[in-house]
Amino acid sequence: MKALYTGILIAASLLSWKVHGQVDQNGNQLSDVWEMRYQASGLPVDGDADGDGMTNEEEAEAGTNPFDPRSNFRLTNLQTVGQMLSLDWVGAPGKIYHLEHVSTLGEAWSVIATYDGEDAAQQALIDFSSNPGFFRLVVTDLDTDEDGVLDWEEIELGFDPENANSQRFSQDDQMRIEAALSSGNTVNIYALQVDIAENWSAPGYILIQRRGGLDAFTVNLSFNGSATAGVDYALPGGTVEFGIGQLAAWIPISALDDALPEGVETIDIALDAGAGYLIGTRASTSVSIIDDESDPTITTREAARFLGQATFGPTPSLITDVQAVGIEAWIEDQFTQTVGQHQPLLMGYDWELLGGAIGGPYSHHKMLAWWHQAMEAPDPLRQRMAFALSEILVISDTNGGLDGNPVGMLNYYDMLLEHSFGNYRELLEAVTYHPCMGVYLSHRGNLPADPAINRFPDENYAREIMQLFSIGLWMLNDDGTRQLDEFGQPIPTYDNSDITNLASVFTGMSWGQGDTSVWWEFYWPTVENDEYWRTYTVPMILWEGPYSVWDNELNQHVEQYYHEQGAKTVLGVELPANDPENPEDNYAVNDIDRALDVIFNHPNVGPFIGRLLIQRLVTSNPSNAYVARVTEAFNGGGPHNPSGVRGDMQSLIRAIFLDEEARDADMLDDPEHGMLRENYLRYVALARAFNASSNSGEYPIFWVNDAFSQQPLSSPSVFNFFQPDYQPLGEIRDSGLVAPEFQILTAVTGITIPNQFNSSILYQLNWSENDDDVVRFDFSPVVALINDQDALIEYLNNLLTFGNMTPELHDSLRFMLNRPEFDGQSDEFMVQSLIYLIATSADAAVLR
Amino acid sequence: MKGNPSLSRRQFIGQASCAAVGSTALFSTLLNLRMASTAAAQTVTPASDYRALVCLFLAGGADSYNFLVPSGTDEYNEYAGVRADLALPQADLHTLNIANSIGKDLGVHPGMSELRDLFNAGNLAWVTNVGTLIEPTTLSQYQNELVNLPLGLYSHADQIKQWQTSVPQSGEAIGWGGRTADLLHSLNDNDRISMNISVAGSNVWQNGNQTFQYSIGTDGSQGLSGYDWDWGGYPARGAAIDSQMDIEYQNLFQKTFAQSTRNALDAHEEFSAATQGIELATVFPETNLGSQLRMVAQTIAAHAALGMRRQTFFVQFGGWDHHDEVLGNMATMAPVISQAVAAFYAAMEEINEQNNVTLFTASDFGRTLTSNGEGSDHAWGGNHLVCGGAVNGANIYGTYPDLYADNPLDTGRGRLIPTTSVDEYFGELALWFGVSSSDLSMVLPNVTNFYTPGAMGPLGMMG
Repeated sequence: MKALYTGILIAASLLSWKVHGQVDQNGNQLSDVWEMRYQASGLPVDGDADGDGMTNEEEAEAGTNPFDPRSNFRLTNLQTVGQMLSLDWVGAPGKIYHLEHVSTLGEAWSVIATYDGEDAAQQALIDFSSNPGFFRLVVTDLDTDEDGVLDWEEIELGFDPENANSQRFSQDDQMRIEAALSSGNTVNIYALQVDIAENWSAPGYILIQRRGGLDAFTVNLSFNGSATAGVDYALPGGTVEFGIGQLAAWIPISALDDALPEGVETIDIALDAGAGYLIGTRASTSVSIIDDESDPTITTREAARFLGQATFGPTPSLITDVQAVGIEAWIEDQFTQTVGQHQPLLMGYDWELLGGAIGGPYSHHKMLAWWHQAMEAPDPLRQRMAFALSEILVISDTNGGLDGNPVGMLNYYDMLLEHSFGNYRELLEAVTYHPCMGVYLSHRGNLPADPAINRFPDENYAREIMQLFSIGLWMLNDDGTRQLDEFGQPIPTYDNSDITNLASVFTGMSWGQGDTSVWWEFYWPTVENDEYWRTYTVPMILWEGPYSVWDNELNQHVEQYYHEQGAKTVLGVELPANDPENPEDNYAVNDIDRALDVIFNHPNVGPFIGRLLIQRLVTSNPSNAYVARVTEAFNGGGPHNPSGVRGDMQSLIRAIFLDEEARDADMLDDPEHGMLRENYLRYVALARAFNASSNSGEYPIFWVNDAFSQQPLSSPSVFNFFQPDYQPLGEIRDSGLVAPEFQILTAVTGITIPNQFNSSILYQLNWSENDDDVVRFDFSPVVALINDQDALIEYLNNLLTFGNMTPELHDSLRFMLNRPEFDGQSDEFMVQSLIYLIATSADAAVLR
Repeated sequence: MKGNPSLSRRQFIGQASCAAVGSTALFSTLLNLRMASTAAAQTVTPASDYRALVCLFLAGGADSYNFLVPSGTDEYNEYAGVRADLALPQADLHTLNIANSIGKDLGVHPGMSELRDLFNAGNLAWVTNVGTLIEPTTLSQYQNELVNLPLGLYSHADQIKQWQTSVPQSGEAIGWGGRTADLLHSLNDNDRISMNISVAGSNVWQNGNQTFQYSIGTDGSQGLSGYDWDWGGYPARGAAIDSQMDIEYQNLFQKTFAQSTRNALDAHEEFSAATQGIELATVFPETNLGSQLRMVAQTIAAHAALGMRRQTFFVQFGGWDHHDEVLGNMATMAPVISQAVAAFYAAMEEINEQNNVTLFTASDFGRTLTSNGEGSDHAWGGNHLVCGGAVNGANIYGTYPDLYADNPLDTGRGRLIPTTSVDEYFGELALWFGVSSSDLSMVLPNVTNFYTPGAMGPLGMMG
């Protein structure tokens, strides 16, 4: 035992106390792991190789280096502050340090504090006054899991000191370590991301795994093939060092861009013989370099990453499509695709077949159509855009008047689809007139003020169309940053008088089926065949008036308008009153039109809506420059808006997806780039990747919203499922960043989501009494690759992690597949395990 | 159990441990400080000392001038005049027996008879016309912009945030429950589970600078299926899950994601062990709010097993944005509150924690007194209830305002300027919970604009 003394007089002496339980196959009283760690085999116990005053045995007990006189167990600092004594030392993880005390030397020492060793400077504080006498610090070992291997040894080797069966091996740690010490090393090499591109700089990764031993050694590599090192690719080092206990290493392979048409070139990487290891069955691998001068095709992974942003998730056939024409042309082609509408699908279902929903459809049945189009629509880009818009221009059926109106909900969604490639001004108008919005934000049936009875126009829609759908609360610069006044304060975009004035504009609107020549149809429209659902699908119309209405109090007919006839001032623009002497035709419609023009032409709309869409599609924290470029396109300028029309959605889409910040491979290395994918969309992406289907051809995937805290068109409020400025506690907040989607990734959904994935992967996505309606994944294309693990993992990498699986995850997948527990397991089990691990990983959950 | 133990020593340690969160290098120092303080701490906070705050958030902006209504004829007529088609019938109100007269009679919504009973029994109080303020504000100051006003008045998102932060001049999302926990979490013997537990997902109130919130569902915490299966290939798969969660990512989103899964799993193992087998005899209503409060009650019953002496809980009941159909919607929703709160109080009596647990309500804002035609719009001050054995119940705190149109608090349409700030309201609760009066402005930075911390609380509500 090495003890360090201190006290009124600082004392030091050595005691000897044999540590039991260390790995010592050679029986020399020194830990074999320590000997391996410092390459210190054959040292005499009582020697002092570095002449630092500590014997080799003491250095072994302290876990320090016997060849380095600066590495040993000693007090590095000792000082008193008032009545407190502090002592410092350098610890080692896995060691335990006891602070011991005795009043009079010669009596028994007692432990007064214990410290876990850390890989850092450590300090003890002692209250002198209450503990007069002598102190010493003693280093010792623990074997927490009582497996015969010291904690320090386990930590050095990468084992779990708290579990006798680290990594859940059936063999205990001592047996595994002793077997490894007498076994040699076998080394294998694998590649992931086997095609890299000259003009897209994301590297491929070579993975080298060691099996057998635990010692340190060096692996030799050679690089051959048609590509020239240092010219076509950056030459990695020719050797790879393995530390003790290290089981894997990986090296990035990056292409170098040039202007030469060279065709595809290959890099062949081989393990070369060397000291301390044998080469396993996987002795070489290769990577291809795609040459943009001779072949414009983008790589699979570049296409997969783009599809992760622009659709609900990549599929094998979409990846092929994008590769065939390139990203820009694929987007243009999407603009021409037929709209994958939802409402007609819902109307076509047989309700009684779908679980006897007499009088249906019910709210949840909207998901049938939604899933159908999420899986099969010819316009996946439009579907993705409409979903993003549904999280900005929010309606919801979770409570209030839209519960039970799935036809109307999907009619609204189809309206979003239609305008996704149109113009934001028309979208804003269609939203304003949609009866579902009229119900959700309660401007349907809104009447002008009547101060005599203390009635005022409903302000709900007037507020939210400005705060959430167009301009936001604060004046913005084109790059999305807030404008500041002379005192450095943000400047509000509107005040409450704008709200009350705009509320007066949205008066006189009601059901589109009504007859506007009849005053009472404003409240009770005639509904043919009692098809009340239809009222939620016809755009609202305006009761211009005046109407002759019976007044109970006056006991006579009075003339009433349902739309406010006076002037309104909105955002500094005066909207004219209707002159009773010379009334304007369709004054109410025109009044709303003029108000929508004022809102739409506010300079905030581009940066406000542009930033929200970037957040939904590409990255949570776009740079100011990226927002400014998207704003420019919205405002009618820049390279992506050839028409020059303000609010053109196609231009906005081009500007978002073709921007360097969305496309450049460099962004993969930016720790602040990317976003957590939405809980529900992670599930949809999984279904798309493996072509989930049922025998009936339908997707009755209901009642999974609890698992995800999310379901399309069912947010808890008009503020969507999460807020654009949400900051999870920790590094994201500390860095001043936002991560909206983390608002619904809690300790609850953090578990229910992987559990939903697990049951879906092992069994099925939904539960239905009718087996024809059960939706299952189709893993057959993956199982077909079972004998080619490289191709199999690459396939999953492209579908689930957008081509950017980290080498650490690749390593742990290979490690799992090679474990004895996987011998004899079914192909399906292996595939299911891989998919579960990848789909629940941060590589799949985060789109970089 | 009333009164505030002196916490200066513990608070010092609390701050030390705050600094140490996420910094293993400081761990030994922390350990040592804790050891040195053990003797003192035990005399200050006996193991039996327990307190919990439960925030019931009524999301959407409850029309709380229909929760608490003037029942005397003159005042009722003023109320009925301004509320027009939104007025509740006078005869349907449940009249309260107010201990210290406020010069007017009040009743509660017809669907809140249980709350009336709790009030009359002295276990519930109302705080009236309370809302977000930076400093005391009059109508002319408001109109002439002579005071600092809350950012984004009348906006849901902003006011939800400010009711939870109590800092209306800032958009920062650190809640006063979180700041309280930053000060007091070291009173607990468990660092692995947050003292801030939400049964309603992420919220601002429980976000601290150092304190995370722990989310559970109405059935408690969840484990990862298949993770511990020990047959066939599952041990290898389970080990791979561990490796997958332990990958050290550079990307902050990936890193945060991986950590959140690991944290959820670790917390579950501890939480489920502590709460396993706890069943209460009290019957809760079969509503979502009832289920949330039942889970809170079960967790409180497990506080000793969890090593907790201070806990906060967040539950939520949404759907109060009644721009339409106020009367009909409230007729179904007010009883949900009343029955669930009554069941919760009964459960606290069952486990004899009724004097250690205080439930309070909050909401985005009050609503306009005037109607938009069967509905009301976003406004400002509103009325809130506080329930628990430690409350000086059967009383009304703050000033119940006159409700006639264009009264001196009315900024238009019956949007009333609050006469009691959220700081005064929450200051009462924070002091009772154990924040010392000298630390109160760390939790509620604006509180000294309304109240000089001292022996008495701002409202006298908690004794």
